[in-house]
Amino acid sequence: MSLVMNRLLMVLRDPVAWILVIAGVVELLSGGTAARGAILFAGAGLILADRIRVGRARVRAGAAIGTVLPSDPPPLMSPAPLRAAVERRVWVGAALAACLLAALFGVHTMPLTAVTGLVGILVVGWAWLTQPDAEDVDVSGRGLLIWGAALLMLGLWELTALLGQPTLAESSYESPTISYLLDPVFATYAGRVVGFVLWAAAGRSLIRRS
Amino acid sequence: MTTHALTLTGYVVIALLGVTIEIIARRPDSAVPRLDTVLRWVLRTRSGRIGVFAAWAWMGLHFLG
Repeated sequence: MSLVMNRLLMVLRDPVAWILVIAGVVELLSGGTAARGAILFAGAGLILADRIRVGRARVRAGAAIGTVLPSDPPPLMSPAPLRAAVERRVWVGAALAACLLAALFGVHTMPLTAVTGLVGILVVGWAWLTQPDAEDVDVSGRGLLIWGAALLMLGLWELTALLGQPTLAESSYESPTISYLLDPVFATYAGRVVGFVLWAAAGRSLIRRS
Repeated sequence: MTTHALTLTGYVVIALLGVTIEIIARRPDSAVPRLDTVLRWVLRTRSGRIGVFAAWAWMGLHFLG
């Protein structure tokens, strides 16, 4: 029982897990689809699974040689092959074609939910299965605080707009959220193409950095 | 000023704040890290990677899916 509690405490101490759970709850309370909430809860679940793996690895290593392991568990696979594949130019063309094709469907329809959900699951799964590069990135606490404060301001302002709606699930002109403001853009084919291209480019950029 | 305009102004101010921080970060010998550096710092752990990619996937589902 204490082993389970220790692993649960390891997760509770991880701010990323908390952020994902809180975001998932807000998403569901504000009328979001189950798929949107699920991707956030799945992320928190993967972090829990990771902590369990860390705990097991620590027990095994401790019993064998008595060493302390780093916080990240050993990789399940190498990220290099997929990263190299992502960097191939042919993927850029294929992704652009996919964006043009996907944008034919309206937002919040089953085909787009399925496509974006599948891509999201694959990428989050890849992030879970692979080991980050052992890159030494030095960031000062003050620098983190500045960017964190800006992100927090955006989150709080969006939350204020959400709470200013008649209900959490009912959009309002007087208190517009970011998604309310972007809905007219994504109602057009060109807007959806731009949206998909930006989303895919952001994903590729993040994969290259990890 | 209507609440609609006030809300929009807030988004614009926060966006400009982000751009300003990035411009300051790009100056030589700046103590402020660039957003790219902060992202690489977050992505260096697996929980950070899962969090960032889950947020990215959620954005796709929220705005487009």
